[in-house]
Amino acid sequence: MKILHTFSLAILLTLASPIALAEWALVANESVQQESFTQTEVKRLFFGRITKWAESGDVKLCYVSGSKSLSAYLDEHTTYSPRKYKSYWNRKVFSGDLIGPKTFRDFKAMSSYVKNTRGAICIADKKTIMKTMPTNIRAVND
Amino acid sequence: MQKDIFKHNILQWALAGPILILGFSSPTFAVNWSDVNLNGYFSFEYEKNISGDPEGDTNGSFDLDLLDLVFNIKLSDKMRIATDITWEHGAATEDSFGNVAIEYGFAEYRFSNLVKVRVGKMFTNFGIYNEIHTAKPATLSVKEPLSTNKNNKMGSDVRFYPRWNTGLAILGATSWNDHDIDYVVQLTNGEDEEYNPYEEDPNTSKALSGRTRINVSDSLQLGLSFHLDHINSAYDTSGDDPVLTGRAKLSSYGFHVEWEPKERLGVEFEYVTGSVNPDTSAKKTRNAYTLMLSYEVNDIVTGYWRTETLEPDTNIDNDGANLNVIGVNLLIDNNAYLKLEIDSMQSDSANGKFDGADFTEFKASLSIGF
Repeated sequence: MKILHTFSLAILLTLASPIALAEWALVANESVQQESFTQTEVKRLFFGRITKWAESGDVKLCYVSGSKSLSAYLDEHTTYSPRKYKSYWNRKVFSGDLIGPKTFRDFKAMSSYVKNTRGAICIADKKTIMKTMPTNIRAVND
Repeated sequence: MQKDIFKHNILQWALAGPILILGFSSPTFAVNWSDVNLNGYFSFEYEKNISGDPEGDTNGSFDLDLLDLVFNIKLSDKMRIATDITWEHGAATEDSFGNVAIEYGFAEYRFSNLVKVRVGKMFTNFGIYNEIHTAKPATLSVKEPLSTNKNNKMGSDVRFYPRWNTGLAILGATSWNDHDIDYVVQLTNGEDEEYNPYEEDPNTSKALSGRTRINVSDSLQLGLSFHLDHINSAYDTSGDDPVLTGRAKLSSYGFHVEWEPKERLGVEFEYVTGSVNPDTSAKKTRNAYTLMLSYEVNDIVTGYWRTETLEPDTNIDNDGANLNVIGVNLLIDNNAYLKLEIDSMQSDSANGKFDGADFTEFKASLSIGF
């Protein structure tokens, strides 16, 4: 727990998929209490259909722009290409309907955002997480 | 003399006081930057008539189409303000060039995902395109479909629905049997050409609009829309002030489909029908449809083809128009799109906009979202 407090990060892996093979993982701010997610929940989160956490306010999404992790997630669990996913969010954001995901150029910038932003949950490259922060991450359901 | 100095000091304080108060006021009510989201988009276009009758842009013009800033300001867990501020066509107010506008500016209060209330200026929620008609990075083609969205630019007297409106909206979303459903109902001033309908309703009738969409699956969405109003349709503008000379009942109904029958293949279909029923002349029934096919060749290249038809008055045989568009949309950088297309317009002789002209235009644009 001390380590978690220091870094305020947790990896949240989904329950119902071949996790060991997944190239992507979820990282979340410590305020996100839920420890595991079904594929349906992940999808509803990342398509803006769940916008509030039960206990920590707004859901704040992010991912690294152009990363393989987003492509891998979309490829495994949706019919969306990265381009179509971007277009989906362009429509939602520019119409005023929803606040869109934050995008970052690299994992370092994204992890800083996740650490400091209440309610943040983001798609990240699993290998990068394991490599970059091997001792400071809690892997749920692993 | 002393009295003058005293007066002068009073005046100085009267002017400086509010500035100091603003400058040194407690930030208690200020919004933190972490609660402000800034997005936006940019669009630069080129158009040229390349064959046929001399309609459209015969010179070939560059157009700084627009620069929009989209702000979302979270005031609390329940309340936000959203606005899109646009500078169109190289806006230069000193010369009365271009346009500066609030595309939308509304406050939204969220009771739950199922019930949210908005007040302010909004896009009319109708069909696929109206809410994103300025957001060029969100659309494949250079322009949104004319026949179902800008039918007045294709031969109709009055649009099927106004671009914008001011008033109240109730909206929400839910999930039923794993199908996502959303709805919106708007009660607004409606539209007017002579008076500012975003400030004052020029008549006692309110406009009522609505839309519902259901995601039957990840790859199939169906939607229904409507717009009803009793508008001021005619003014005598020969005097100092416009004088109302006619009103008309406006009703429009729409159906749309967004479908991905196969991976990377997209189909969009939209049909709009309705009528304009002037108090003192014959009712006009009109309809329009648009069909677009697209194929994402790879992560960079998407090709598209669209056909559009407008029938401005079903009682007149030769007033229709048809537009065919073929183009390619290239993703050249993160959320930056280069679009190249050929638009071919064919119109009938009694068409109110083109009078039978047929012409082809080349259009290109660079659209960037952020």
